[in-house]
Amino acid sequence: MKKIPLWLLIVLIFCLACGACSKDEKNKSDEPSVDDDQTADDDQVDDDVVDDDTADDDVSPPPQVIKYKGDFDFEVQFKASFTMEKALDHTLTGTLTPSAGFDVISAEVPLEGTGKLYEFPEALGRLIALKMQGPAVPGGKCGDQPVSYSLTLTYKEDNGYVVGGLTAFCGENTYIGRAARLMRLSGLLLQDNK
Amino acid sequence: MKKRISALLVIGAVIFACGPASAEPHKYALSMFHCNIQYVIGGLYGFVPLPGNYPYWEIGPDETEDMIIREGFEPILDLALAHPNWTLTVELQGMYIEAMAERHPDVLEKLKTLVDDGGVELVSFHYSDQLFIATPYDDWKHGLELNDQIFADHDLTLSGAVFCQEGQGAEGMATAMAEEGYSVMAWPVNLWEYQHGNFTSAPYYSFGDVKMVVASKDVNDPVNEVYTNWTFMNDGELMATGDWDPYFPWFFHYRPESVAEYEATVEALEADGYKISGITDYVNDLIDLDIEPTEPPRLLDGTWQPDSTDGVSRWLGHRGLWGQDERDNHVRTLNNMAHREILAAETAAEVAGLDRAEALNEAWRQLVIAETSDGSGINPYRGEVEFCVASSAEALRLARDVIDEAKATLGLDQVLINPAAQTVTSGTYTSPGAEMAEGPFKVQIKAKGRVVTQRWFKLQNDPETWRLEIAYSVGTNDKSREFFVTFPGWGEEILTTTALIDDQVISYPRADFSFDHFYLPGPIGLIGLGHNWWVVKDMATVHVAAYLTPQNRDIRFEDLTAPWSETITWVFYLRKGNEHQALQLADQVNVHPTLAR
Repeated sequence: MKKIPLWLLIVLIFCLACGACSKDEKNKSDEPSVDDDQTADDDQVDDDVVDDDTADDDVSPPPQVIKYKGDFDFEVQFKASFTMEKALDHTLTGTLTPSAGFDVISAEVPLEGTGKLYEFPEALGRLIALKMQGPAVPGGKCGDQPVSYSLTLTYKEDNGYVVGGLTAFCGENTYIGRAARLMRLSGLLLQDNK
Repeated sequence: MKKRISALLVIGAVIFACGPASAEPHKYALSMFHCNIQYVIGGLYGFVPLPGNYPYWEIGPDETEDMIIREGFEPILDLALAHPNWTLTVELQGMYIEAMAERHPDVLEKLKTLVDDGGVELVSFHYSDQLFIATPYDDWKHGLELNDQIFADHDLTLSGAVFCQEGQGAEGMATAMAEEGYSVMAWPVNLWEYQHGNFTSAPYYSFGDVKMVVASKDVNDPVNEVYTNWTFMNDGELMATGDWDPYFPWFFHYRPESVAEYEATVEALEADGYKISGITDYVNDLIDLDIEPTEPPRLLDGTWQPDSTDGVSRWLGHRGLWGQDERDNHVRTLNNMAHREILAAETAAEVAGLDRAEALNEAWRQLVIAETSDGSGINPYRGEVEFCVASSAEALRLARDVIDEAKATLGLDQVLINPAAQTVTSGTYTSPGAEMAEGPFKVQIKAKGRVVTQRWFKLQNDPETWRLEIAYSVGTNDKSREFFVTFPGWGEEILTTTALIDDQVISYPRADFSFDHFYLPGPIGLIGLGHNWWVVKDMATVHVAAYLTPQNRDIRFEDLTAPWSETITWVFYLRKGNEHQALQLADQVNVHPTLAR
C-alpha cells in the first residue's frame, strides 16, 4: 500500500484506536501454549508429555491420540471450524468446515483428510499438513472436477497461534502442479480436552 | 570572374555565419509506469477495519486483479494507442501477464500490439513483486526463469531496462542484469539522494557492465545539450484513477479527466520538441552521440522512498498503519525456511533418482509469491501478511512431500540433507556447539515486558565461531512487541553482501555517505562488525534489518512487530575470520544449510 487519502486515514485510525472495530483478537489471547512436546515437562504449561516430576501427581502414559480444535478465520473475514487428532507418530487426521464458499470450495461442506506434523528443529518451527478431498464446485474454477486441498498451518515454538492456508488443486488426489487458488487460515489451535 | 568570386565569398560567408551544423538539443520525456497485479495480494477480504461486512469493498483476489487491470492498467494502454509517436515505459511482473491471459485477453492483445509497435517499452525483472534485496540469489533467479518463460509464451519482447517493485536498487543487480541481457538500470532518485544528498544528474551513468539512469531526476546538461523530463514515475495504475489505489474500490475507477491531464502535459512537451521516449532508446541515443557515461557514487541496497519508509526497515521489522497485525519476522523467516526446504528437496530428489520438477517448480513459485514485499510492508493489512505466510507454508509442504518420498525411496528414516555437497546421509539433528558462560563480547538486548534469556555456544576455535540464542518470553501486553539487539562494531567500512551476489563481501566506506542512518537488508544474513568479526543472522529465526549510523560503529537489529503473546527465539552466528570464512558461514546457515529431516 502506498497512499491513503487523509480523511479516510483519520477515520480508520480513529476506529483502530477506539478498539471498536477490531475483527482480530489473535494477539489478545492469554492462551499461548498448546503443544510443547519437545521440552521436558515442568507441569506448568499445557503440553502432552509424560510428567518428569513424579512426586506430585499420578503418572499416566501419554495419550495415543491428542485432539485439537480451532475456530479459524478463513480468508480473513470468514470462519472455518477445524478439528484434528495427532497420533504419537505425528500422523494427523482432521476436518475443516468453512462457513463461506468460493470458486473452489463450498460453504458448510466438511473436508476430511490425513497428514502429518512436520518439525523444523533448526528453526523451532512446525508445519501441520493435511490433504483433503472435496466435491466439484458448480461454476467454479475446476469445472466438473473434484477439488483437492492442501491444508497447511505453521507455527513456531509452543505458540498456539497458527497461520497458513488451504490451497486448492483441480482434480482428484492432485497435490502438485499449478494451484487453482490459495485461501488463508489463521487462529488459535487449542487442545480439545473434552 | 570577380562576380563569381564575390558570389562564392558571399555563399561562404553565409555558411560560416551559420557555423558548423548547430546541434539540436536532445530532449526526452521519460516515464516509468510501475504496475502491480499484487497491489493487494490475496484480495480485500477483511480489509475494512470497521464492524460489519462491506461486500463491494471486501472483494476476492480475482475481482481485485480484474479491477486493477480494467480501471488502472488498460487506460495507460489506450493512451499509448492514441499516440503512435509516443513510447511509454511500463513495468510489471509476470503474474500480471498471467492474469490478463486468463481473464482479460483483449487487454493483453493491446499490450502486445503496443510492444510490437514501440508504443510501450516493456520492463520486467521478477515474476512476483519479491523483496529480492532480502533474499538469496536463487529465489530471484527461479522467479526470473518463470518470468522469462511467460513473456516468451506470449511473444512479448522485453526491453533492456530494469525497474523493480518498491524501486529496489542494489549494486549487485548490475552483474545479474548483464548476465540476463538487461542493459539499463533505472535507479530511483530518492534512494540516491537519501545516501548522497541532492545532486545534478548526468545524462546517464555506468553501472558495472551495464548503464544506469536516475529515475525521476530530470537531466539539464547544457554541455551535451541533453534535457530530460520525467513525466511519470509512480504506481502506474494511479495515473488513470486520480491517485486512488485499489484498496479503495469505491474510488479506484478510471477517471478520464486524470488521463486527460497527464496527456496534456506530455502533449505540451511533445510540442516543445521532446521525444516521448523509452529509457533504453534514450540511453542508446546518448551512446550514439558519443556521450560518455558518468561513474556513480557507491550505492547501498534499498528501496525507492527511504525517507518515508525509513529505508528497508518497513519491510524488515518496522510497522505501518495496520501494525497490530504485522509480523514481519514471521513472514520473512518463513520465506527463508521455505528456501532451505526446497533446496533440500531438490537435493533429496536428485540423490533418490526422482524427477519431481512439477512439485518443486510450484514450490519455487509459491515461495516467490510469499516473498512479495507487501507481506511485511509498507502498510500491509492482515490479509496480505497471511497470504504470504500461507504461500510459504504451501512451498514448505510441497518440498517436504518430496523429501518424504526421497527418504522412502532411499530406505532412510532420518536423514541429513546437504544441498551444497548434494548428499543425503543417515543422521539426526543435533543442536550445534558447547554452551559457554559468556560470549566473545557483550550484546545489548532490549525487549520491554519480556524475560530475555541469552545463551552462548562455541562452535569451533579456528576460525572462532559462536552461536548466540536469544529467547524472549511471552510479553506482558501489546506493548511488548519491540526487540532491539545491538552488536559492537568497529572500523570505517560498511561490510555486507549486495542483492543477487551471494559469494562476495562488498565494502562501502562510511565516509562516502551523507545519510543520518541506514538499514541494511542483509540478503544472506551477513553483516561485518569490523576487526574481522562478522555476524550472521540465522534467517530462519531472525530476518530484520540492521541499523547503522555513520558515527556509531554498532549494528542494531530491530523488530517492532513481534506478536506479544508468543515466545520467540532469535539465533545469530558470530565468526572471527576473513571474508571468505564469513561468506562460508552465511552460506552454511542461510543459503545452503544442511537440514536434518
